[in-house]
Amino acid sequence: MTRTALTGTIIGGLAVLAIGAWAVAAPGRQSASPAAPRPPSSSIAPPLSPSPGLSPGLSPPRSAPMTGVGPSFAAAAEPFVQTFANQPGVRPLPKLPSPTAVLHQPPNIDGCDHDYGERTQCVPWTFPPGVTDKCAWLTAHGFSAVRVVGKDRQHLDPDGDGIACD
Amino acid sequence: MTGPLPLFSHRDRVRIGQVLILTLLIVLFLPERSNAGANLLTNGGLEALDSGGFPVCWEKSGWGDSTHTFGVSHPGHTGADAMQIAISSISNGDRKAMMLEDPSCAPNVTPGHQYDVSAWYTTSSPNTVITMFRHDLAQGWVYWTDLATLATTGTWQQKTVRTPPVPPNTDQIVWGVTLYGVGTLQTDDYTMVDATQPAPDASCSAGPVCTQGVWQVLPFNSPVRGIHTVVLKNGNVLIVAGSGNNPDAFAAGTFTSAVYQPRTGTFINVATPADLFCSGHVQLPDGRVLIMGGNKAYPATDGSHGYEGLKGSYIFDPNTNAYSKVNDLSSGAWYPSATAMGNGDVISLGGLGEDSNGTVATQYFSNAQQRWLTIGEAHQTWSFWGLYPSMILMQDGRLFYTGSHVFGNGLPGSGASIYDYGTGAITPVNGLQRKDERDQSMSVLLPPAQDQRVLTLGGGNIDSNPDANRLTDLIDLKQATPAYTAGPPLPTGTLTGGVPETTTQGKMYVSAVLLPDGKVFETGGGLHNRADPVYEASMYDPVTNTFAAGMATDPVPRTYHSSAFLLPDGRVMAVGNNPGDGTFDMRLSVYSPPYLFQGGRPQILGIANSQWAYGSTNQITVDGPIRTASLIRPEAVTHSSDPNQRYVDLPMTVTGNTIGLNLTSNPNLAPPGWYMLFVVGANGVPSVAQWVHVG
Repeated sequence: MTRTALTGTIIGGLAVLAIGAWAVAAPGRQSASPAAPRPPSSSIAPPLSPSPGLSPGLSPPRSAPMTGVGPSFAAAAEPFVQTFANQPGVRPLPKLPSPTAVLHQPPNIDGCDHDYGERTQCVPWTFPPGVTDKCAWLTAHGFSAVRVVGKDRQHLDPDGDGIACD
Repeated sequence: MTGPLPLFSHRDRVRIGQVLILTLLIVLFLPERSNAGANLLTNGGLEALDSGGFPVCWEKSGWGDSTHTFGVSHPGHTGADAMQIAISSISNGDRKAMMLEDPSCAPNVTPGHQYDVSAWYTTSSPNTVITMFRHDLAQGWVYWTDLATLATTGTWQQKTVRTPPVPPNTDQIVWGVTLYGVGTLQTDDYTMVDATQPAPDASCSAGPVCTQGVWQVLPFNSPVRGIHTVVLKNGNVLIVAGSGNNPDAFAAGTFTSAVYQPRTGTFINVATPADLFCSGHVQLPDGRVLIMGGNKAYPATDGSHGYEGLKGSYIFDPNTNAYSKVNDLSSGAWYPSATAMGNGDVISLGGLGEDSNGTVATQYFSNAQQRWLTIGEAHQTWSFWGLYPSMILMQDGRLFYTGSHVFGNGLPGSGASIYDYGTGAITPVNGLQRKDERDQSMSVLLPPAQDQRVLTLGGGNIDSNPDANRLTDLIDLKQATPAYTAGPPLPTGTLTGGVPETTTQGKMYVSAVLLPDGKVFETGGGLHNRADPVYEASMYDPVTNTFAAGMATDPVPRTYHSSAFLLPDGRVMAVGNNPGDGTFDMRLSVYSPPYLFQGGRPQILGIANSQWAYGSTNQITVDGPIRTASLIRPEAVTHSSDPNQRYVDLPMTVTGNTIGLNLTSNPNLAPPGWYMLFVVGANGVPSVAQWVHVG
């Protein structure tokens, strides 16, 4: 063996050793096969509900096959809709008939007692828990000279002068 | 005479020494072999077959009614074998070859890590998608997400997609390619590598803002009362007051709106054709804003009638900053909902009619016809849904009534339900806590929309006027029978004068804003009916189901008639406050979340095409490593109600700084319209949004 050949052999051997050493020593390999229970076939979904999918009232359509073969076609995918929340066994609420009477909502639906104050104001229909002095509460919350424009439902105008809490 | 030659000459010894040193340097200093190089899959090449002739560690899966075959085709993309699924007819369901949900086959994953999954494929059907399941330590194997739709191809193509960060409590995942249309699918040479980006060291040295963010009260006021706010496709904000809860303005016929231009801090006053106070609103697919109903009359002083709803409807055009009229609703609507559907139509429910009675009509706007259907054309249930009912579009096109509403008690029964417009079926949903004290709570579809989870926060009752509560309720609409479960309580805040709330006091008038980092910022609120502002803000993390308390609080009280919404620059703006004394706070506040102080913002340098089709991959270029990308639908909010707010995850196909963003094929997850595209860098900092049009 010539010196040149011997030198080359040694260099090659060292290189192989180096690569091997790196391959063995460097971290990063994912450990294999941890224990995990095999679940019931969770990837099997229940039947599709008669829900509207993309278009309310329609079931998701299924396309005819693509007949061509070759590079990308421009065909658009149909919506991939999952079958979640089918609520098996949950009974829908009874269907309602077309109404024959109005559904009354109270004038104070906003929680304000419109018997009092300017029309921009909202004296609470019910004061917060623990309020024993409604007038003090109103004052603390920016109300002053609150007019009684309707019935004094909350008895805030004992002197009857049309101004609450004075 | 010379002696024998030495085995190594001096020159050889020098060379050997050099090689040894070089080798040592290589071993010592070569970077750790990255996880990115290791294929984590067993039998990804499909060459090992079991006794049945199907690839080891793979299973035939799927559901529904179809005529189909599974098999092994030859040759593969490489090697001898590929998997093949052929569907010749299908009425519903899908077929997929999945990795076995088996400890020896399903790859291990680390929570928080992201993985590049890749497969070679041919398919003759566009209805082909990569689907993932995860092994949850508590729930077992559960659906995770769909990553990308695969384009049809007759020649072998490779698709690589990066997963979202793996959720906590996940130890393994499986995935595969699903075929849900007629056609033939071949797959081969699956790989999965860890593609986690190293997070740079935290670089914030700005003190408390690093963790709390900071509010700025703008040095100018809104020219109109900020009762309704809609973020527009051009980044401006439509602020609608109408009469602004001011009967004097109503009597004078003074109705106002303005467009706020965040880039310049200026406003454009907009001629307002009717009293749009108390209307509903939602962006149409083309970015114009559909506004329905409003205020026909304030309550009579003699108590003879209450608020009356308008039948009128208008469209606001951001291009012209002008309203135009469309046909009337079938019934008046004061406090109606407005939900954008997957086909671009709009369903509006609830509210008060022209006679101040409850509106029981389902009102349906056809986007194709640009008109409201007549009462006979729309499917009717004759149900009263209350005021501003929060109706969130589910991934199958049904609506989830979250129980969040405005004024008084919730609906009878469980207080929440699922409504199928197509069949008219309304099925109750259980579990909502104290459903009669969720007045002016707020519900949000949590990020990402693909997870189909809803959070409902806080609430009170303006009739009984208890202390508003700290309740939160979480529901997973992926479950077969979804039910709310109690979430962590809202953090407590302080009241006027810095008085701390008690442990049972929370807030109504809550604002919850989806952020581009996938978290939910909740802010503002009050303890009682139009009184007692609560100064509290927190950051909810949907991944961990926890609130980070102690975010900076808006110095401006934000109770009744207040809102908050995301700006395209990643900040949050808050408007409005209308306490019982009749005043209205015209100040505007802007919140910079902590993420804006964590380092440089990633840049979206280019978007190949801003028109995105469902199921498409859309190329963008960025200036550095990106962790996630998302579409966020711009808000259209009033009274703590914006059922259309959503964050749609965009799984990424990463090639250096060129990223393909894979949009879902399901429009119910991302109804057509304009969206804010955000990317989040490896440092957790979001970009400024770019606008893209979906559908």
